[in-house]
Amino acid sequence: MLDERRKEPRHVVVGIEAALNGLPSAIIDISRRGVRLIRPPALFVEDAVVIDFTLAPRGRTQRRCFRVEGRLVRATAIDLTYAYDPPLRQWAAMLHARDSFVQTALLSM
Amino acid sequence: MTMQRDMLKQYLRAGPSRRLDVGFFSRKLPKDSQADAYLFANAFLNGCILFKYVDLEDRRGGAKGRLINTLIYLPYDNTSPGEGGESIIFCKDNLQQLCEYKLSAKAVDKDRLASDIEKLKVLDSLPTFSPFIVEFAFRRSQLTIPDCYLQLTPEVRETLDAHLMVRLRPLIVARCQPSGNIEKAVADLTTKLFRLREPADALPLIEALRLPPAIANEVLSSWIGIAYFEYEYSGLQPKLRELANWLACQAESGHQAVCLVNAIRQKIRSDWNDVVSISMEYRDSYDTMVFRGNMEPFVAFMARARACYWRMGEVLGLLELTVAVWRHLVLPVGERKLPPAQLYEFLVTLHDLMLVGDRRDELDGNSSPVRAGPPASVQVPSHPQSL
Repeated sequence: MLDERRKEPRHVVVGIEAALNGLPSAIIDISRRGVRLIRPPALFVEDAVVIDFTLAPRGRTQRRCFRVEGRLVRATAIDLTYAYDPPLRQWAAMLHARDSFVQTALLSM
Repeated sequence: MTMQRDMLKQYLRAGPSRRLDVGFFSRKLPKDSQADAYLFANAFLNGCILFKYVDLEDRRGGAKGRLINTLIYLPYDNTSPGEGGESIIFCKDNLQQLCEYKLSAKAVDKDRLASDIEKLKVLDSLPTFSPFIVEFAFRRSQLTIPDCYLQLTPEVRETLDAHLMVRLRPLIVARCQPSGNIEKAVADLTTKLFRLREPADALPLIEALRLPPAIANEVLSSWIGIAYFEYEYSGLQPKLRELANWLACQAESGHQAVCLVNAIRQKIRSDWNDVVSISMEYRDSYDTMVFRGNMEPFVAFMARARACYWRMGEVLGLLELTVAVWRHLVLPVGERKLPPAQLYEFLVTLHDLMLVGDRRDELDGNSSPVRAGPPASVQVPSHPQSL
């Protein structure tokens, strides 16, 4: 799974929050089927967790919440990586649109 | 030093990256405000306008080795700043002489002068007056700047903080290996980076990026500045494309106008592409470090961070000013075509604004593509003796 995820574009995003089994955890980077998060000190690391993604309102779209099941890929002292199934067909596009590098991308004149 | 009246008026239209209208903000304060509500200790300075100014002579002499200087402009009439005034390029001696001229030598209070010099040194150390960068620099220097001079709304502040936090977080986690409460460690280090007074504050990051301690603060500040500029540039980009399209439409306006248009377009393209190239290098090296674990390219980029920061600031100021001047002219006209004389006058002004740095070539004996005719000028003395 880790190798597979490495092939996907990873995004550093603004406006997406995550909670692992209800514990808020900051997203370090995220791809269509994998997410790396800061390890919450209170979390007991398990092979499977419930991940709640909350997308902050943007333009005309309202705040949206998505619940997915996360499968542990890697755990270190500081971060956790989970694989998950995308909750929407256009999930990758949504992540792309909230990528802070994409938002500030400059084009040649 | 003299500044032509037309040029002065364009500078007065500049956005926050090139202009800090201290007088405007000071006049908004209640009349009975305490002295510490104002930016400067010497009252006359609280009526000034500060510009990030390209001083050709200084550049040629290479005294400071950088293009942008801080110009203190004191309008004769605060309600009509475009009608001329007195100005100096900031340096300690110039400011002292200005104070002696304004207050008479005996009335100069050394403490007040020292306090104002400190604040102006901070402002002079920046390539831009963008409020976020100014606030950041004052915080680092442990000096206070009253909020009313910054115009940072809570919404803007929140957006910028989020933008920068998101950029810093993966790097801090990936490189610093904090122990204990990770979230707290990340938040602490980010806060310290924003305050950044002592190298020890950001030691894990400095060690991870192999920065020489003597210049670490400056490098990290430049990096935050670059991340901030990306945000500013992304807002400017659509307006600049509009300007580029408008210029392209002026290609059938007579030979002289076309020469000017081509020179301006060439300058915009070249400056913009410089910034894109810095931004790409920053992104690629960041990506390689955070996602692929190879930090060499980012370390190499950081070694050049200060030069990149100044270059981005210089170009941002220039392009923002150009766009502001263009919008001022074009918005009232709408879809209609400008009369040829007005168009030519505008292009000459734009050409002067954009190519001022490159006129060095003219002075060095190389010819510039177009030589602009002299508009009516106003004397803005550069030195107290000449006031």
